[in-house]
Amino acid sequence: MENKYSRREFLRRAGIVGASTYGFLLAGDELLDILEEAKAAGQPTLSIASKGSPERLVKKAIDGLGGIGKFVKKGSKVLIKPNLAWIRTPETAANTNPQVLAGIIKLCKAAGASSIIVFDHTCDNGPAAFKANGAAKVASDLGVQLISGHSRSLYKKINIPKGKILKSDECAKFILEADCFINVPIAKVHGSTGITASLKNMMGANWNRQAWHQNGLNQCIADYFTAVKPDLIILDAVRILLTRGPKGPGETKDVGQVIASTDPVAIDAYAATLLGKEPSSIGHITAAAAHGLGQINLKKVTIKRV
Amino acid sequence: MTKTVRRICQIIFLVIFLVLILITAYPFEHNLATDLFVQLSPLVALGASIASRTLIWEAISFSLIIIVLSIILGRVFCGWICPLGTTLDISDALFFRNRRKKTSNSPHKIKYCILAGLFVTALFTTQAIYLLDPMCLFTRTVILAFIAPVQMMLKWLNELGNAWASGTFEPTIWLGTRISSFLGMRPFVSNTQVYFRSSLLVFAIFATIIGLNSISRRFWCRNLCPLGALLGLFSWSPILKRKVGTKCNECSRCRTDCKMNAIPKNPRLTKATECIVCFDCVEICPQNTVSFGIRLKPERHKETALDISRRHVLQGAGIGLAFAALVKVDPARKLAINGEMPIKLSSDTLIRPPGSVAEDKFIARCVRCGMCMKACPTNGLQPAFHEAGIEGFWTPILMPRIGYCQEDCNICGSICPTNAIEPFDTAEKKHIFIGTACIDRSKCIAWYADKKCLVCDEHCSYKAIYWKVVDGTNRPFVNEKKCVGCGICEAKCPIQPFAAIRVYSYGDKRHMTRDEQKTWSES
Repeated sequence: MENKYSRREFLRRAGIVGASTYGFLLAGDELLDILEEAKAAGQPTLSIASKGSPERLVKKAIDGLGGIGKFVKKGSKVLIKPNLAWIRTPETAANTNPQVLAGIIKLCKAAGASSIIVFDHTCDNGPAAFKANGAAKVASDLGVQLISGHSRSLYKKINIPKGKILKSDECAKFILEADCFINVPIAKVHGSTGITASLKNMMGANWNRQAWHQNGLNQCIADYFTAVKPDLIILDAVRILLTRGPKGPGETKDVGQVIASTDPVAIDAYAATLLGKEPSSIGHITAAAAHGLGQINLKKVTIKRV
Repeated sequence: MTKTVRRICQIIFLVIFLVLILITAYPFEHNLATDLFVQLSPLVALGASIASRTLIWEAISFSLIIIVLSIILGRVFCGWICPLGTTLDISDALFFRNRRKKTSNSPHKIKYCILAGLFVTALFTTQAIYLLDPMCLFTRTVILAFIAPVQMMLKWLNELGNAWASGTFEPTIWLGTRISSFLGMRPFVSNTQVYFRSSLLVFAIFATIIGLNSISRRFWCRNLCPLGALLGLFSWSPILKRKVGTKCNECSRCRTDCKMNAIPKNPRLTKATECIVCFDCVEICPQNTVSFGIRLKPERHKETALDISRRHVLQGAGIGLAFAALVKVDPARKLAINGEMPIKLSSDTLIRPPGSVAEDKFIARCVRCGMCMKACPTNGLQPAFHEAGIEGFWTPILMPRIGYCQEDCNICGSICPTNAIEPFDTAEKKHIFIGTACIDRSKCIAWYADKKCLVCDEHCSYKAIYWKVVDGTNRPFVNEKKCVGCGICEAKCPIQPFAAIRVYSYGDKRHMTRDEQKTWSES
């Protein structure tokens, strides 16, 4: 055998390999992320719209993700799940802003949705909450169905194979039957779970959510989400509730943003920062990240500001 | 002809009565006087006023209409308006036609005896009018024994419909929405099932009253109804009187046919106190000689004299006195001093609707018509059993585990016919203290099991729950100056079947005026 490398050449190459291995071990995570980011280039995880009327913000945010046409096809059945839980006026920021809701409905209509249902299993009396928070007017003006989930016959049993605590539960049948399911939470603080955003909003799709408290609330929220995933999440941060959440009345802040995403963990992590909280301190966000539902580290999230 | 007019009139009043009950629903936006029928009863107005030592003007002014009507036209209320009388007529035609012998004698006097008894109990501040006043009795029956089961059956239909229709069609809501939009009102059919305690008992009493028809027509109205007795007293000599013409051959058809047994042996005479002006005798007379006309002179005759004797009144009074005395020694009346406020020992969970007057007055005024229970949007108002003692039987109590007092609702105060629940504003509710929530730390999962919960804090409308970190976990506490006892925490507490946070009558501040309560909470 003939020597391919001179000694000098061998040492040089060995040095390069060694150094790069060492470097890779040191900074491997970041390198991988760079690769991932490169793969996902042009496809932001969070699309944050600011400045403009709530309806305009909705359009800008969704356009940042590639437009409503990516989610709502012509003739598809759309289900919108806002947070309309309380008998509170829009100023208190306890429910999803009615104008944000109107903006989404209009976009879905323009995209050619065959039916649009707005559904929530409210905490307070359904019709009264819808009237107070402005959703009833939006629905009647735009001619869409607004349903409060106060009848068990509106729910169907689902299996949650990935669930750690929840193995099966119930889900509003409109969500299971929809072609496109849009989750429209508002960012609020929450007494027991820290914050309310897209993950926590899914409690309103379930029939018996009281049981979750007994079983371990944070894990149940994350477990449920593994089985019921929205196609699109639009976070209302036009005005957010900073204290005495989730029902208020408390201190509010005008942020003037609407955020669109398909990643529930990233959008909730972002909501947590808006509310002045560390995402990793919120139990249900970390539980959802552990399920692989999304990226909790905002530094690794592609954010597009529009 | 006149009989047909009367029947149409009866049906119209029955329908109005039922519609008024149905539209007594949250949200109460039409502001119609849905408590009209209970307020029309002079017995309710007088009885509740005497028992509570308060002139309940709202009820008195309405009942004056009926008193004046009785003085002029006789007991037309019984024959033409009373929805219970109409129901008895209908059930008579349905179930008892030709199935009993015609009796001429009936124990008319019992009703005066009952009336005397009721007034004597009222004099001793015990109100028993609720048991037998037909307006209260029938309103309660419709609400507790008909609406709830009918709604449950509609609910079954609903579930059935949902089983094969995948859409959003819910028959009850659909129907309710259609009818109410036709009437230009908000939906009155609640989309949640309502439950009431003692529906079966209420129905049994009603069924007995109907069943008594098998003895004689309108047995209840003839012999038992205390309101009939009272109206009979007002119409001992009405201006509109029955007249029998000279063609009368005393065939006594009218006498055997009279559903009230108001025609004595001599068919030319009339017992005005019994006659309900139904015009049956006019229609049936083979000689066509019976008519009604104006005559001022009272008809005086031994046979038409008032069926009332001193002995009977004294008997009734005696029974009433004994009733009042026996009720007053019920240990449930024993008071405990809680701060500066006396509360009943009978029940720690005796929670009254907001706006209720102080307990003794409340029991005396409340006629147990059930309107507040019908209207309560959360179904939380339930008829009491033992909670308020024998005296407070069937009075409304809030049972938060069934339903809480909704923050934006003031309907029970708006529709209470005797103002046992005084009207209030939703803005005032944070200063109307009907109870206080207490956390049972041995049951609360945030206390003993270190679990994330705080549902009570989440739902509390008045921010009376606060939490502190104790041993590393958030644990709830109650601020008694803010907790009004609405019970939403108890309703929503995930611990089943009993809540770990419960509302107790401990915080009841009804003995204070609203301003005093406000000052107290802000102090």
